[in-house]
Amino acid sequence: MSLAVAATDRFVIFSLAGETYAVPVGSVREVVDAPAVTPVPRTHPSIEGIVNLRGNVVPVVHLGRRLGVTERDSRCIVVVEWHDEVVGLLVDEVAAVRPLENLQTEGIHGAGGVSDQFVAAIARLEDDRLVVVLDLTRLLDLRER
Amino acid sequence: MTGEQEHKYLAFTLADQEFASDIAAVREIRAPERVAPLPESPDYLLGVMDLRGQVVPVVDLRRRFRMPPRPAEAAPVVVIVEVAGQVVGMMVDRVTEVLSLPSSAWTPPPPLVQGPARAFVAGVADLEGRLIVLLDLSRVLSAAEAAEIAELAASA
Repeated sequence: MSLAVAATDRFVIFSLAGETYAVPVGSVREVVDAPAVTPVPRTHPSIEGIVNLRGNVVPVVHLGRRLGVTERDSRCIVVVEWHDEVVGLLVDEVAAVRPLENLQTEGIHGAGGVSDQFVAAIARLEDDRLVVVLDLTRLLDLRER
Repeated sequence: MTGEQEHKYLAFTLADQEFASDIAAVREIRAPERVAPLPESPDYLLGVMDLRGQVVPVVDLRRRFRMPPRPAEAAPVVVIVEVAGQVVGMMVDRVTEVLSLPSSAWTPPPPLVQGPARAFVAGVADLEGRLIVLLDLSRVLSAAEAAEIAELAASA
């Protein structure tokens, strides 16, 4: 897995289409209520458009479509900085910022209904909910293959 | 005051989104009079129109950008541009204004904006909270596509 995660790391936990996902808190710049997203014609289908965040034009990824879990639009943007690019991820709701214990990084298959390539790790919350830690490198690699 | 020189841009809409083109690329703006459809042509090619004796292919930018079809009551206009030496009409919903902006108002599209858009999205500008996408209308069609529609128009 390209995303090295440790039990001491804290994560931003969010919900999308009834599932629970997480990204490392160090990758998150801010969380904003989705302003109007300006579509860009004929770009990658997972790119919902662009927004202006205090003077910076930031691409917004329709995370539900990228993960293949929902086509529905979400209203909250988790802004991440990854490999020098600032990117917004459309999610339903941010639930918490917290550490995750007992992270499992190996032998994961079909977690959270998303393709294994996007999964860096999984963990169980106290209420037995499954949290899928996303692999941002794979998620944001939108080059044509 | 930096004294930076301003340029003029033609602003127009497609499906309620705002776009702009460098006005230097625009030859004229016409009403779409008598656009004659051509058989067996790409779906984005509406047909040809007569521009003072010259047969000019007309491209529907909505179709080109895979946007929803234009409502029947719309009164679109055709922006006449030159693409690789060919005169081409680009149908848009409405021309809204001429913007005067310094070139520095435009920021390049973020690298994550991939796909065909990379060829023709020249920049993005923020106008009082509205994001406007600057199009290079000469690159909305690839060279091969421009040649194809020129050939179709010539045989019309």
